[in-house]
Amino acid sequence: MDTEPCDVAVCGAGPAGLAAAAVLGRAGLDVRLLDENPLPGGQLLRRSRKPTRGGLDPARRQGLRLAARSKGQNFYGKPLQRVIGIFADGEVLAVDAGHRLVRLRPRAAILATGARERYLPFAGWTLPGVMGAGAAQILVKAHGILPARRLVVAGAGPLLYAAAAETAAARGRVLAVLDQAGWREHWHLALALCRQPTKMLQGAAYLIRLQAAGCRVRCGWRVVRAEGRERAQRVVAVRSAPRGRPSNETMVFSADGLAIGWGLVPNLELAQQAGCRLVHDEHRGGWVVDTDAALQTSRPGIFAAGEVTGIGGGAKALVEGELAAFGVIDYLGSRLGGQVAARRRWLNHRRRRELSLGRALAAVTRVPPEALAGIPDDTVVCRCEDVTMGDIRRAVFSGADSLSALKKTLRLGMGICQGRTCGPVVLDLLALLTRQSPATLPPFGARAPIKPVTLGALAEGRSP
Amino acid sequence: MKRAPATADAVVIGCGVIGASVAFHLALAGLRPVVCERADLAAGSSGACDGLVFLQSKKPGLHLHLALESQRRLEALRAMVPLDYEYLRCGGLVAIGDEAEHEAMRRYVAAQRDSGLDVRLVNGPEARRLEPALSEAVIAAAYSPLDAQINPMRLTLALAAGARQRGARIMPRTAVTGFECQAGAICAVATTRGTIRTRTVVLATGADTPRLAALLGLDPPIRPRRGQLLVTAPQRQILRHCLISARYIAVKYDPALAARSGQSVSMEQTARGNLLLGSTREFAGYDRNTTVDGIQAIAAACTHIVPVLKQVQVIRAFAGLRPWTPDGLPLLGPVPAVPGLVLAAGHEGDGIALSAVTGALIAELIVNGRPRIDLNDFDPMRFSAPASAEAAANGVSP
Ligand SMILES: Cc1cc2nc3c(=O)[nH]c(=O)nc-3n(C[C@H](O)[C@H](O)[C@H](O)COP(=O)(O)OP(=O)(O)OC[C@H]3O[C@@H](n4cnc5c(N)ncnc54)[C@H](O)[C@@H]3O)c2cc1C
Ligand SMILES: Cc1cc2nc3c(=O)[nH]c(=O)nc-3n(C[C@H](O)[C@H](O)[C@H](O)COP(=O)(O)OP(=O)(O)OC[C@H]3O[C@@H](n4cnc5c(N)ncnc54)[C@H](O)[C@@H]3O)c2cc1C
Repeated sequence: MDTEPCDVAVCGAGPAGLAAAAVLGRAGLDVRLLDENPLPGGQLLRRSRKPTRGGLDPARRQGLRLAARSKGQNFYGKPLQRVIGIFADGEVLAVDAGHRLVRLRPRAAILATGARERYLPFAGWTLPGVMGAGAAQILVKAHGILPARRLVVAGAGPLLYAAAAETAAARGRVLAVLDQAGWREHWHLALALCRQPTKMLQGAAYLIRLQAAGCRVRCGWRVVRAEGRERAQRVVAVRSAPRGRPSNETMVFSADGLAIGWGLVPNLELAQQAGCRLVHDEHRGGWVVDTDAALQTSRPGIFAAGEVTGIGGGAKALVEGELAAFGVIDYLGSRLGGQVAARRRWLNHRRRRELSLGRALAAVTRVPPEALAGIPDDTVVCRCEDVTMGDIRRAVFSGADSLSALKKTLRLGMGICQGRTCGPVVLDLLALLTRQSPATLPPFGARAPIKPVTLGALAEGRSP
Repeated sequence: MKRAPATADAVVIGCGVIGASVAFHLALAGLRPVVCERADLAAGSSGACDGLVFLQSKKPGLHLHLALESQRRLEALRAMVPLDYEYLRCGGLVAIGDEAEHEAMRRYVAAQRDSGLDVRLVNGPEARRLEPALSEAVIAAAYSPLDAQINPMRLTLALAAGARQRGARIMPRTAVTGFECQAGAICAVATTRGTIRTRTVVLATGADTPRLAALLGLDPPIRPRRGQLLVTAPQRQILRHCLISARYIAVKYDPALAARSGQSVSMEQTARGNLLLGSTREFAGYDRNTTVDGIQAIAAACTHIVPVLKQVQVIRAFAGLRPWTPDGLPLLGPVPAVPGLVLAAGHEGDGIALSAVTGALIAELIVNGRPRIDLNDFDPMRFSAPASAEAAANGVSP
């Protein structure tokens, strides 16, 4: 099968990808917007059953407008295209819903693959009834299903409140939101939000709704155990004493559902596979794609935008999408109109503001060492390959002091999910157990195909 | 950062399967070697390969003899190391796709039987009785009950752990950066964690060997020959045997053919149920990336032979660099120009299978001055002797 030439392949149709594609389309370029989801919009706009204009959040409103418009344009004609690699010669390989390969040869590419939730293992986290906060949100919003009869939401970061408030709005019973970060970290977040009144309002609206629904909101508490025989029946939390000292204050909830999440980690696999350099920056959420000011990665012609360059929310994604598009237009030698310079200045200014929000987000979602140190030995960390905390401690003790060494010793990260779930937390664990700086511990590598694809799809049209 | 010891009985460079095996056997003989590994254990080709101990793919003669000896040792070693390496004598099939291959295999199998291998040809229906997943495209097969498979990463870790138990020191993330010589002989090895004084150095650096040898002004004719591999999600048992295509044997020893003919196939199902599907044979420098062409070629060739694989998902792909040599045989033994230097590299696609015997022979060479099996055919200097003109005339340079 031949490759199809085009100007730009935008990988990921979240806010960043949509914003980029809109600008590139206006510039008259032949753009292909590829996303593995059936609908454009990424994590920000996914899964609403009711038609909505986005409520208070300006990023969501703008994103929805872009998504609606993109559907009418030829660049988003085919949904469900999963990008599985970008190769040395620039070829972009994807696979569609019918298990057919899509082979593009763009002159430039934008990586806008977004982020996923980050999880922390604790005793009982593999019990049925324990789910990601994002999954709980999807159940409520996209399917109209309540995640549990009595739900506890626990972990860190603003997404917990969104998940809890949306469940409450659908008349679900939410017993508590347990936020690991203390008031101090939240104070910094509130300061950063001061310059973004709509987000502030949205946060307040969540809290008011939760209050009205009788949900307890507790900061500085973290879940240590889910108990139950067949499925989760009780959730046990402890108060994190200041400066990590252990505390014996506990709370027990009788709940049949527990939604968890500790902020987001970027989806770096495509960038890694394409050979783009990463940098470690704890203020942006750990390992992220390294870019220059025009958002070009270390690989010429490949740009990055949105959560992959640092966790910072939907508004940052929109701004970066547009900036990356301008970068691509420059790179391709196309001409930009007169007002573009001013627009870019304004976007860069906005980007700095959103980055400072990202910094505050990173602070509230940072996993405290005592949460890692307290994971019991029999707790499963890598669910695909059944690797326990004890296995990891023993392997580290006998000399495995890197992710790749753990992988070889324990098969950690070798299962279906390829370490997407356990990788980030194991990096934190390794840093703690071996006293190495996280910046010296590289994440799992990635090679094409970066996501599962059938052999039949790969073999199609090729003689043996 | 831990410093390297000031002195050592011997320094082994590289902790792939070969370095680990050499260290294990040296420690077994009472020496206390130090192993310097640039990255992690099994970071090179030994962690990016299949685990076939496939006797049928070895050249009849000394090569096969060595492989048989190595297999016996791999079976015995299980009781001497602290980690299970999933050794399974599953038997192996060489799938034959057309009459020309069939004819070549008839001669090949006869020569192997003469070398003492238990192997026979079976027709298509018989092959499918042995391995029901095979398609009608397989017209015949060669079968040996001796072929086995192993987890190569765990084998490397197991040998290293066994060496450590017996007094070897294994140093990951310690790169060798230079050598010191006195009157032409090696007297010390410079590493990123300090200098180690020693009079015996074993180069077990696989495809990286030319880079290290260059520091001593040597250029052994080892070149990286890339192999891409696909890994599927775990499956219920699909394959009972390990399997290669007849083309695999041909391509292995003839790079010119590798360029002309279609993709050759190797398949095994691991203890966890994942299938390993390989593999390409390409000269692409030190590039360990996978390519569209390589991935597609493997998928097409494997689904042709085992059609049920079409529905199976690939969850990962990777590439390793086989240490290729012009005649397909490793370079084992001393280098007279640099006293103290011993080469144990260049095993191409056979390093896992030959690991045990390689380690044992190199240890015997270092400890007793001469190994039990004559290493003449593996002499590292064989290509610089006039005889190499013949290899050159065969046109088999990369
Ligand atoms: C689970 C979850 C819940 C969230 N909930 C909220 C919320 O309630 N409120 C809020 O303000 N923010 C929320 N966020 C954050 C918000 O979604 C992000 O800030 C924003 O969407 C970032 O935009 P992006 O374009 O960088 O990435 P994303 O929106 O994540 O978009 C990335 C897109 O790339 C696609 N993609 C990734 N890899 C591939 C591939 N290989 N091939 C094809 N397509 C690919 C994905 O399908 C996705 O559509 C949530 C995030 C997550 C992960
Ligand atoms: C796709 C594929 C499939 C294969 N299938 C099989 C099979 O089924 N059966 C089989 O028997 N063989 C197979 N092989 C071949 C086998 O993998 C190799 O022959 C074997 O791994 C070589 O081992 P080694 O220890 O010599 O090299 P390596 O494993 O590459 O080890 C060399 C080590 O040296 C280290 N090193 C390099 N430079 C330095 C330095 N300056 N300082 C310190 N350390 C350094 C490297 O980091 C590396 O760890 C396959 C290979 C490939 C690529």
